Amino acid sequence: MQEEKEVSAQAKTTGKKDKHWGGGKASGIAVVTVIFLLIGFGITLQIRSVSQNEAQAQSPEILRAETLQKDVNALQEQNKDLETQLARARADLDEIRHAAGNTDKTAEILRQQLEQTERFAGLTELSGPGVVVTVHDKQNPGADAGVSPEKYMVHEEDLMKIINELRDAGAEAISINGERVVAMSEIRCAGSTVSINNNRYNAPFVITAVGKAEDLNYALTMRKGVVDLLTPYIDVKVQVQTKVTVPAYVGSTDFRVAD
Amino acid sequence: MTAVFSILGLAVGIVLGLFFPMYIPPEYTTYVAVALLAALDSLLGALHAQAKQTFQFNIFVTGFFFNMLMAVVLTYFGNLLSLDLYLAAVVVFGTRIFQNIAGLRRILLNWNSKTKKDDV
Repeated sequence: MQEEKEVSAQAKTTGKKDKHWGGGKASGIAVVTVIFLLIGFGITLQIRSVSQNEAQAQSPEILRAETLQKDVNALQEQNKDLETQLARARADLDEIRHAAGNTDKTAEILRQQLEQTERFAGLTELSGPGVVVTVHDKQNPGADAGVSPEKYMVHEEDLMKIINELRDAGAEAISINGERVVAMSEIRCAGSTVSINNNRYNAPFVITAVGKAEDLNYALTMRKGVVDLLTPYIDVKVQVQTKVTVPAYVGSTDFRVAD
Repeated sequence: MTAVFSILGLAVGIVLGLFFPMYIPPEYTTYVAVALLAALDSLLGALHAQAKQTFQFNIFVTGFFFNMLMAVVLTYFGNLLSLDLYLAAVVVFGTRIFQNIAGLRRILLNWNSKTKKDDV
């Protein structure tokens, strides 16, 4: 070492060659031992770490994304299974109900009431005349689309306005993208998607409503109505149909908090 | 005596390193590598000085730790500047390791021939 050479040479000439710190030879040996220990430790640990790191050369982000994707797939699979189970259980329930309904008059009345309640709650598929409203992001947005593109995208409040208008016009059942809208359904902004019954959907949205088709149509498309209001920002198309089908609510109906 | 303890220390260090339960995280391996290079340089410098009989213990110990520290600080600073400054440490310590080895070899060769001459 450069400085060692110089200073040592100096020390030699001045005759202070044996200048040690403190305790002399024993502590010197101890320090040298510790230094060698550190070097041995460092080199072996470093070699092990480097080979270990190369073994996991894939970047942590990729690994994480892969794990998350696997989780999502597994959950989706599980969800499907549970929905089939639920459908089977509901079919069983129907059978039992029919069997009970055949026995006597009281049971028959109860069964009718139950059916009525279920229809009201959205637990059964309903069909009848109605409208299909298709909502797209604006195809030909204004000049300021580059500055504020969100102005020309479908937002959850647009859907809520349409649904509110349909309800006001006497719609009896409403679904968005096959997701039955029931009393406890949320329609909520979820990043770039809209969350409905805790499932997420992207534009285009297809709103299906059962009700007096003409009433529903007029309610939406009247002058200064919802469609007029939204058209500058998004594309809304209303189609009157003689028969539309709104699917049943497939989520959980358990009460977890209420007494 | 010192040599015995040195080898003992090295052996214990290697064993500890082999069975240490943790790994150095990837982002720190550069620091450790540079520090190790500095340590090796100090060690060879010390051997060289010993052979020349100009070895001084306190210089060795301070040089050992200070060079390690400086190498790590330089690497860190390089990271901050997004410049591979650790290369400077690698080049300097690498060159000096070779120089020290060369010096050591020369001294040992001369020493050998000297003793032979004395024998004759």
